[in-house]
Amino acid sequence: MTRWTLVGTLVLGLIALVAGLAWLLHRRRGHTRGEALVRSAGYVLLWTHCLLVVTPFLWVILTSLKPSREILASPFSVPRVLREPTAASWRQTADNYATAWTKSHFRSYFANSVKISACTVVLTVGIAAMAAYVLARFEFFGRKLLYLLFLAGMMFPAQLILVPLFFQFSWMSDQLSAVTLAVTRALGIGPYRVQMHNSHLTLILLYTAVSLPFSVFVLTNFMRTIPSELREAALIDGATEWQAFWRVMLPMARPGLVSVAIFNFLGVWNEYLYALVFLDEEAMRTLPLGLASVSILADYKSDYGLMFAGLVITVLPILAAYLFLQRHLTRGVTLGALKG
Amino acid sequence: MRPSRGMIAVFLLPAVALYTVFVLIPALSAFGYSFTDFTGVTRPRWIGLENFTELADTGSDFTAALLNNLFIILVPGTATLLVALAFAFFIDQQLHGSRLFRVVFFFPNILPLAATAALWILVFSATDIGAVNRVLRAMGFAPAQFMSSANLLRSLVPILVWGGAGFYMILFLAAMSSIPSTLYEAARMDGAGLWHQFRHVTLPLLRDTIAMCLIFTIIGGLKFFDLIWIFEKQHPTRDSHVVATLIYSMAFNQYRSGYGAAMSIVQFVLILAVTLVSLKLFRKERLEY
Amino acid sequence: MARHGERLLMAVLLAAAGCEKAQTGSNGPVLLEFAVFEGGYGLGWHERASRAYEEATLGVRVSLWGSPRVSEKLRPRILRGNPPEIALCDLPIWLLMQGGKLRPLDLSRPAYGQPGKTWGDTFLPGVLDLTTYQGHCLAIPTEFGGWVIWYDQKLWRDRGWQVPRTWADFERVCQEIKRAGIAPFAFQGKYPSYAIGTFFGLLQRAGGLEAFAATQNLEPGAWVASPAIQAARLMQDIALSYFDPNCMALSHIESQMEFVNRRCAMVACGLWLKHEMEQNTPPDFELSCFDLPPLRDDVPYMWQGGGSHLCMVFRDASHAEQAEDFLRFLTSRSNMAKWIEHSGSLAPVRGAADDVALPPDLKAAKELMDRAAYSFQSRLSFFYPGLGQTMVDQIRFLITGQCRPEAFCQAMEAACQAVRENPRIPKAPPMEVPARFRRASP
Repeated sequence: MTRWTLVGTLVLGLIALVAGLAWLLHRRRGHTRGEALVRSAGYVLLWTHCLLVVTPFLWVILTSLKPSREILASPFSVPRVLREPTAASWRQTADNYATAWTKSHFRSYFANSVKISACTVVLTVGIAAMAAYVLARFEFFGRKLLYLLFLAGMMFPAQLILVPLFFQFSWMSDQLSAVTLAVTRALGIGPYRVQMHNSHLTLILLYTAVSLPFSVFVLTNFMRTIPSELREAALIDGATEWQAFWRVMLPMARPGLVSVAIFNFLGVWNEYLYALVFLDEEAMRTLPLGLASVSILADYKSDYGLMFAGLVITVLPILAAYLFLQRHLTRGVTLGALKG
Repeated sequence: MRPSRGMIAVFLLPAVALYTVFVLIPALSAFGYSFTDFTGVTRPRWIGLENFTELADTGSDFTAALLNNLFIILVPGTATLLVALAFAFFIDQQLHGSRLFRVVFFFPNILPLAATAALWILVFSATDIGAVNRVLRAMGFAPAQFMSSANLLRSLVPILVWGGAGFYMILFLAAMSSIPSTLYEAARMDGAGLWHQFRHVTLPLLRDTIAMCLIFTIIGGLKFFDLIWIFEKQHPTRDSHVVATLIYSMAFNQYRSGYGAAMSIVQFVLILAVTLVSLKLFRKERLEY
Repeated sequence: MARHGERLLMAVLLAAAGCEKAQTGSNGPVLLEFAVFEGGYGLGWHERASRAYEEATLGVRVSLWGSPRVSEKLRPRILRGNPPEIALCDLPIWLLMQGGKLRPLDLSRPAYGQPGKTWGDTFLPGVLDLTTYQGHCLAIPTEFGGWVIWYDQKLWRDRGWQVPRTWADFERVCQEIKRAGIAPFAFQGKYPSYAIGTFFGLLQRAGGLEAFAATQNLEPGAWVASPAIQAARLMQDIALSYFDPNCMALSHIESQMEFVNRRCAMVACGLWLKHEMEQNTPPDFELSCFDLPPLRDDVPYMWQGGGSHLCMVFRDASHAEQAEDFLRFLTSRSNMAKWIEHSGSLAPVRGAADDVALPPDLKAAKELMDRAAYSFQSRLSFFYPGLGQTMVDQIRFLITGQCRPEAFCQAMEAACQAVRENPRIPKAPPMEVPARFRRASP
């Protein structure tokens, strides 16, 4: 009986809050009754969601300051390290993070994610821009078909190409290995072998290929908007086609490039499935993969301190970058999505 | 004055080469594999349409997974859109703190799903550290098993709304900001309150955006993978499998890569169908204007 | 910008290159590639055995490597005919057996370190049956496992609970435990497959080895016969009455933590439990085990367990014959004794356990094993992965009370019938029931 009365009280409290706020708005701000009610409901809703977003993260950050044993003992109290900041308790907190960073490879995960995402974005934007440039502006045989082929790629689910790629990679590995072995042997340098599984290069190429449809689609639309006089003027001035593209036309498409770059970066940074299948070694893994395996396997050592610290290591840099770039992000998302 | 054919080829080559090798050829291979009983360790044998007839059977795991996908589209999917619409509506009213809200609400969307999963595993945990169960227990309720297989999809509803509302809210806000205020003034002069303004001015003009967001939701729902895979610790059950996780499980855990390929072909066809149908509807709407 | 852009691109590509130095090894020692699944037990034992073999055998090097995802890496290589010499991991062995990818092993060769005995003789009876196909043995288990009920002697002693010998005792002690406010059974709810062991144990108690074999051989009516229904009913009763109410959302570690922290009195698990929970077990915990009590007088006690951690030699590998010799060495009595020491589990080789001082929990398990008249182990998921998955799903419904026991049995019967009648699914060699266990009346 008591728990339902508790729930009832909470609900009534909420209604009272909305009503009270509405009354305040009506009196103090001069809104009509209807408007005040709506606005008040809006405030309550928005602030509640704000709390719902912020609180879990605060809890995770605070809890990551506790060593595992303390987490298990009292997960919701103020961390001991804040209540009694001694050198010893600080060292325990630092231990959590140090372990996550080095022993549990979060340093590698982070570095790998940065490397793979940055390389993919540079490659994707460059290659997609090149293709979009000619697809948008020049007539040639098969242009429509090629464009449609790229568009179709946007509808391929990741699983479609996953299984064949798995076997295709090892076939390609073999062929590539044989070739590079022969070539490097012939050249006299120590025999080198190329491996496609567990390789960052492969993953980068794969991500690029998979990001091409969307990027080509968006950039084609952008490229269409650039006036062609610019290119003609550059050619008259003696530039080659290539130079005209890189030096004149591409900079004009910068908003589109930025938006595509941001979209792709987010997509690759957060990608899980391909990284899961194609990266094996701990030291090669990306952040989402590392974090997922920690949360799946963390039970093995029941090391909650590690899990919380790892989560914070994952989230804080993203948060920092987000606060910094947030305006660009939202603009990029809007442009990218609405252009479609 | 067109660039030479050779130049055009050079511009296109990297994109076409990468795309062909890493996307088109595997997609075609998937098509091929789907007609075989490829296990991944032995040579594939041609079995015609057997994979497809097996998954089309109403009792099959595939159908159960597809129903789960449908649940994800219908419940958390539409809930997210409604919540995002509500948020956009209120923020568009220039409530105090709107700037803060925009920034805060969009944040969960840019996190890797693995981080979201890790976060909610901790919050919903049935052990002592689970915050939600702690609150429930304090209020006198029995602790609930949010993360069990049977309950997983339902537990996903708040998580997906929490994580996804921000993204759609931004889109709606962008579209709303392009609605000229003269329309609102006209409505106000006709005596329309906030709600009427919303229903008769905002919504109709948002229809395109809403439709597009709906398409995103449906396609996203059909591709859904990460959260379920991590929550179920890589072993979803019949209750919690969606098409994407089932394909992975079939192909790699049960050594039925041919069957998995067939399922992915069907998934692709569904996505294609949704896209084409909605494009048709889209075009029709545009023409009416 | 153009030059920088191009240079950037090149730098990017080179920086990300995944080239690595290749291993040459053509005119050197015979190189045996040994791929191992790196799990909870680590690679220590495999390392030491490999080094010992290198010392004992001239001109051979063992290249050992391990990873938790070994089987995924090996799959494409097997397909292309480029497998390692020897692998100890969770590949789809049944598929490989049928596909002729595994080298038939010659069990008549003399065993290492046991003069006068052949390799085949050194194994426990019946342990090689699973991997024998068309008369040839194609893989050898390197571990012998078992499914028992673990408990803490200290907790039980303090509370005055007695280890049950009869079914009535079992029910009584469970009630006592419940009254004391402790959950009788911890259960790994997120992995319902853990209930399958208990279910088959109940089935064997209820209907003898024949009832169990009937299900394994996909015989019509095996799942709806009265022993199966009785086992399902008992399984559901135990689950609904005695499982930890919170268990369905817990992973195996979380639930076993409940057991180790004495919030649950028992847990049904394999012999790996101690090793898995080693770091979190309190020092005064006295792990020991017992098994389900009998349900009928005319059914002898049998150990539920069998060979696992299968090790196989690939037919297409460059040095398959040498690899087979290495496998013989690996499964010698002394090496298997070292395995028992390393892992805290048992071995499929006769007498290996006698050469080692067993810790008390393993001693208790071995006592159970010695008392047993025979051993049995479910092979449904080994031969029919789809059926195995169905069983996991169905047993989850059973233990959560979402379906009645009869419905569970019907579902399993239907699934088995589908497999039996599907000509595309190759059928496993039948499980034999020795004559002495066939009872006069069913």
